[in-house]
Amino acid sequence: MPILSFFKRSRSKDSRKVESKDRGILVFENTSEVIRAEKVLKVEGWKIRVMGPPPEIRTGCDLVIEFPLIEELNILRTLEAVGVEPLQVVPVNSPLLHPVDIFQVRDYGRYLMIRAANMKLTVDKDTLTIVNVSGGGCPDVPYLAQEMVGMPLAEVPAPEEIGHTLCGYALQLAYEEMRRRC
Amino acid sequence: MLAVVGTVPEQNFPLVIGRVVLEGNVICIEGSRAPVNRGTPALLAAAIKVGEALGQPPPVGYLAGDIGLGEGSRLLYARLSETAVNDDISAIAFHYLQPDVDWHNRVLFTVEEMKKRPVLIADAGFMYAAKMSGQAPNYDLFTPDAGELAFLADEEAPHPFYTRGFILHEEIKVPTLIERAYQYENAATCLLVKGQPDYVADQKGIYASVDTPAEAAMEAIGGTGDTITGIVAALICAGLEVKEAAVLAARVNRMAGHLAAATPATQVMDIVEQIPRALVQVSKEHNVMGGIHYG
Amino acid sequence: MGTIVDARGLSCPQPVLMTMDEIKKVSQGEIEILVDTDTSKENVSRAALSKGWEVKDVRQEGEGYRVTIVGS
Repeated sequence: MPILSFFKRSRSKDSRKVESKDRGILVFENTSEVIRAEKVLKVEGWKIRVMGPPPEIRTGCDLVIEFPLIEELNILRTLEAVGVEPLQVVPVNSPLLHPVDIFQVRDYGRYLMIRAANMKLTVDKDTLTIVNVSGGGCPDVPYLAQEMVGMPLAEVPAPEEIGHTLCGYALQLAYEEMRRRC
Repeated sequence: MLAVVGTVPEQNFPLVIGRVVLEGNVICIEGSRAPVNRGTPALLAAAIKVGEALGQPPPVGYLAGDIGLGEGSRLLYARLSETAVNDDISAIAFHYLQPDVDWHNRVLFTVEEMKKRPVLIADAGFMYAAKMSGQAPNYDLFTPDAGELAFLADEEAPHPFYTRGFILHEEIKVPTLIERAYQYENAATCLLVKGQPDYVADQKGIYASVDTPAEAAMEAIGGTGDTITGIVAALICAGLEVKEAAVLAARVNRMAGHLAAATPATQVMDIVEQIPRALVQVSKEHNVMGGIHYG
Repeated sequence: MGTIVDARGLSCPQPVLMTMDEIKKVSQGEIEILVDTDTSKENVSRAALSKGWEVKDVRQEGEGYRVTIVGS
C-alpha cells in the first residue's frame, strides 16, 4: 500500500479527532468571562474559537474556548493578568485528563533530580543552585534552561513566569516539587 | 547527507538554511552562530563530530529562533511544506519544533512526495506532533526518553504533560511501555529509548539494550539526549542500518560521557569533545559486542 | 608499494575509521582497503574523497572488494 494513500485515508477516517488532538478547552464560570477571555486572546493573536462544551465537562457555563493546547502556560498567564481565570483547562479529545502529579526523584548524593512528565530539574543540594534543566521538546525548554541554570533555587524565575508551553508547565511542576523538598 | 530541522532559543535568530560547522563551542550556519548548550545545537554538534570522523560532509541545518512562542517553528514548518529538502539528503532529523498537528501533516506530506524518501528521524517537539497526528508509523526512528516513552504509550495523551498516572507509575517497566506504544501504533518503525539502560526496539520487541559505561549523571545533563540523536542520525547517513546505528549511538554517547568523567554539573560540550575518541573505541569493541545485550 | 587495510569481517563504521586512520598515518601514497559489503565499499570511497584522496580503482575480490586510493 503506497504511503501517500495510507496517509490520506487515515486523515479522512478520523481527521476531526486527529486534527483536534493538539487543542484544549478553557471552561469558565459564566458567559461574560468567556467573552472577555475571547477578546483578550484574539487581541494577542491566538487561534481560538468559542464552542459548546463536550459532554464530559460538568462545570462552568454553556460556552467554552478551544485553544492550541501547547500554549496553555502562556495563555493562562495572559488571562491571569486581566483577572479572568478558567475553572478548568483540559485537552479537547480527552477532557478527563489532568496534569501529571507523579514525580520521579533521583538522589545523586550531592545532586537531586526531579522529573515531572518529560522535564527534569537538577539542583546542587549543598549550594541550592540549579545545575541542569533537561528533557522536553518544546522550544521554550532550551530557553528556560538558559535562564535558570546556574541560578539559586530561591531567586530563579519560576518557569510559569517565563515559559510558554506545556513543557514549561511540566518544568514548573518539577520546580514546585523541588522547592518543597529543598 | 544529513538534514537537521530545529530551533535555537533566541528570538531574533533568523530562518537559516545551510551547512553547519562547529567552531569551538559554537555552531555556525550562513553567518549566524549559536552556542552549544543543549537542544538542536547540541544535536548538530554531535552529528558534526561523528560526520568528521567518518569523512561525511557537514550536515544541512534548517534552523529558526523560537523561545516557545512558536513563530520560528511556524516559519520552518511553512518552508518545509512548500519545498522539500534536496534529493541528496539521505536522512532528516526533526527536533525542537513547537508541536502542531496541522503543520506537521503538511511537512510530512511534502517529504513523502520526494522521489527518494529520506530516513525520517524524530525527537523532541516534532516527535510529539508526529504522535499526536497519528502518523508515528511513518517515521523510521523515534528517540524518546522514559517520560516521552510513557507519553507515546498513552494513546490518550496529547502531550507528556497529560500522561495518565497509571502509565507513569514506577512499577511500569520500559519494555511494557514499548509494547503499548506499538499496540496503539504510536511508535516509529524503530525506537531508541534513552535511559538506564538504553533500549533499541521495533514492532517485534526489544532488539538490544545498552547499559555500559553506566554513567548515571548523563540523565541529569541537558543535551545528552540531543547528542545521542545527533550521533544516530550521522551514523545512519554513514550507511548503518537504523537498528545498528541506534545500538552504536547508545554506546558512543555513554562512552563519551565516561571519557568526559561526567557529573550532573558537566556541560554537554565536554561530552561532545569526546565523541570522536568514543567512536573509535566503541567501534573496535563493537565487533566483539561488549556492553550490548541482544534480544 | 602502498599499505593494505584489511577491514573484512568488520562492521560499519570500522572500515571507514581504519581508512581514515591510515590516511592520517601515511598522508600520501597508495592504500588498498579490503571490505566485504557494498556499503563499506561506498563509505570507504566517500571517506577517501572527503580527505582529498582519489579513488584509483575498485574491483571485486572474492565475496568483497579491493578499493585502491591514492593521495598526494
